[in-house]
Amino acid sequence: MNQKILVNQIIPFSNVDGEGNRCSIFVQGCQLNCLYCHNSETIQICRHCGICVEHCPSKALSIHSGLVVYDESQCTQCDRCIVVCPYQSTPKTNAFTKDDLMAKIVSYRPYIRGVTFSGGEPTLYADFLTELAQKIKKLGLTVYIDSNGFFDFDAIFPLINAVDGFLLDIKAVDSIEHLCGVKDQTHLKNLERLLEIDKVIEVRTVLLNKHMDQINTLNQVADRLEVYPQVPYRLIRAHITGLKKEQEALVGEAIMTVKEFLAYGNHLRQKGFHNFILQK
Amino acid sequence: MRSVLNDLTSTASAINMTYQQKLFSMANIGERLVDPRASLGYTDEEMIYIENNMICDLNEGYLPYRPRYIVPDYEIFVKNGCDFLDIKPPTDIDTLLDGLLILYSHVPSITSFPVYIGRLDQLIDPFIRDEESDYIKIKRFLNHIDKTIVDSFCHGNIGPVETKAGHLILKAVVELQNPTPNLTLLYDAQLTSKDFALEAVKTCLLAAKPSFSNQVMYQKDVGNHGIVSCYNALPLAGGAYTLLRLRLGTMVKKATSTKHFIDIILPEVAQNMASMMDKRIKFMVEESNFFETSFLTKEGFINQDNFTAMFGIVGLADAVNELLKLEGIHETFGQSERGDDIGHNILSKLEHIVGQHEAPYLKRTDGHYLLHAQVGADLSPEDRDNTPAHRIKVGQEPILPIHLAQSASFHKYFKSGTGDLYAFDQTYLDHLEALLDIIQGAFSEGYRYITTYLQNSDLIRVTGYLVKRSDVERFNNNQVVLRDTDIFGSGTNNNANVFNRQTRTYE
Ligand code: SF4
Ligand code: SF4
Repeated sequence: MNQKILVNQIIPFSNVDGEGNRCSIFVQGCQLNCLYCHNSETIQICRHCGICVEHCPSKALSIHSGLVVYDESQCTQCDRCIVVCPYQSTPKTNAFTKDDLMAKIVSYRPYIRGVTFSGGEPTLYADFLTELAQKIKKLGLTVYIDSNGFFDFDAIFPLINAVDGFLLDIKAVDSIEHLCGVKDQTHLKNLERLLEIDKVIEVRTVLLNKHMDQINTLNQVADRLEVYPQVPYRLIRAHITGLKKEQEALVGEAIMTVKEFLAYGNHLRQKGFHNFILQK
Repeated sequence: MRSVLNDLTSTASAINMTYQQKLFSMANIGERLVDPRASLGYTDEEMIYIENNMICDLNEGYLPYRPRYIVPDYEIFVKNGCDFLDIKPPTDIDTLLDGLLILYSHVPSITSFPVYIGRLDQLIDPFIRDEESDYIKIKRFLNHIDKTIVDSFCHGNIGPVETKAGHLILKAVVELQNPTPNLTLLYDAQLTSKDFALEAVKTCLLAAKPSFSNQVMYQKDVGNHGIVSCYNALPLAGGAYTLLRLRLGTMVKKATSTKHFIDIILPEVAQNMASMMDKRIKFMVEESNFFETSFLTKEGFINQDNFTAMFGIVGLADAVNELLKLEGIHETFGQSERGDDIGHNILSKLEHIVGQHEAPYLKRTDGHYLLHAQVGADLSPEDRDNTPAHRIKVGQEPILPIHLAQSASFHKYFKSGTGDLYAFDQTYLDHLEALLDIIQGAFSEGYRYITTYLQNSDLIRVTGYLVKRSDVERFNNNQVVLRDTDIFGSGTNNNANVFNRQTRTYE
């Protein structure tokens, strides 16, 4: 089977996607659309409209039989293409088979503890990743999934079963529709179910003012984590760098000061919850 | 290279050297005034290779009256004290540290400064009584070394086992931010605790040392040893008589093809270098009376049987790049499979040549020289065409995992030492485990030695030793600086652009 997956980026060595040194693979495509998404060009699959091609100053993009082709060797990473893309996408993706990805992972193996699939939303590619995860596990490496929490638990159970655990986002609770455009609370239910079977590595919430129910979200997560001391809760302050102009106009003023951010740590402490990490 | 009388005059009136630097420099010039054809019996052919820069004798001089590197067993001092210096065995940390400082000033080397000051944590740990006051003493001891042994090739070792003294040394290293002494953790995954290793990783990011050596691999190849000078692994209670090096990047300029280089030029020049080394060793052992006169021998700090010698190379990258050009391949060493093949062909040929050569007075290493990946502490303009050791040229490095794998495959040849260094960004300070994973991975892939530092720090590793960026800038502006290695640092940076080595940033 020569099935391929669209990959936005591979970071051979990453120190921020779980314990130790890990290889991070960012898949292209996500079903949410969060106001502050820092890599919103990973949300949509490229439509091959061709708009970005003429904007590339380095001739790294061209059109062949109606498809936009990306030549990495010519690219200067100026990101013009991403700025001009009207569809929250990027031409700078590569399609890989499982064997392609395994070859890379094997060459990184001595230096890493595992592989983290991030995105985009990896659970959209559950079938592909299930088989890949099984192969990676055979190398003695761990596999983590960095997920937004919105997936059909039972449908992707083989993937859940195959990996070591999830880095799970709980982006908001009551305001999740405003923030990310989803109506239900699947993420909280999935958190509970993953916790029950010991498949959560850490839970993450990005904090910003105004657009989310910060205290409620923190309480909901902390209440659920209380009985799982091995699972830390990471609070991340939303930053302005990395936001697109339109996003900046929308959420720029809602970025917290460090002081405001640290106050949420105090809130958790007062609640008697201490197993959290503050990422300023 | 021979000197001329004029070198003495210009040294005497130099504006950017301390008194001490002038003294040692003039002594060295004196050693190079004599004709090695007369003093050592070099042939005219051998002389040609020095004069055309294919062989670099690192200005060792032509009356070799002491070994280049000496690795004393300082435990002898703890046990017996020192008869010659009339010091009793130490009874507490004060008499230990004081005695060691005295001993250091009597340990010769090619630069006249000791290149090895012992397994510091093991020496000190039995004398720790009160951590708080002992810490102050250790810190003062290390600072004393920095200000009096003004040569960053001076090297201390710690580990593999975690000790209180080991932790105190690391703490002092961070507080002092001194270039000297250079420091290495002898790392053995079985013996080195994770806490101690992580502490060392953190210290290395904050103070550009300690480096990490593959204790298991070196123990197998060299036996009991110390890591000395840059990153040389040399027998304990012994050392290295001499180190000469082949400038592969210079030799390649005469090559007409890869085959011509490997089959004709390489053996020819290598054999001449080996015979020069033989002659140097013979003089040292048979004529200089070093081993007869030194109290280090008499009292058992060293034993002539434990001496070996180092057969160095520089400029593998330049040689390979040139041969790739001759083969019509538009690739560079580090990012070229054919380039790696050529590199391995050169080094296995050299390994074979050196393995065939029977050298005198080399009992410890079965009569054979040990290959060494030299890092070119030289001011010579010729070194512009000779990238240190087997390193990839700055600016031609591949991404980190590929770089590590490429380099790992070359470490095996260099039993008396090689190493690589990588600059990391600030984020690794919060993720020490990630860096330790890389170090452990490198060792599992055959690395002998690895070191790291933060790109933006003032203390920077030039090739194997440390300098302060600010000191090098001062020297380049014609001001006097404390250490001779700062001066080397200036030369190496002007030649190899090492201050701009690629930083590893990952988000
Ligand atoms: S980032 Fe995009 S626009 Fe810029 S060079 Fe690369 S492909 Fe072209
Ligand atoms: S990346 Fe965007 S602009 Fe470029 S072809 Fe794809 S959809 Fe169009």
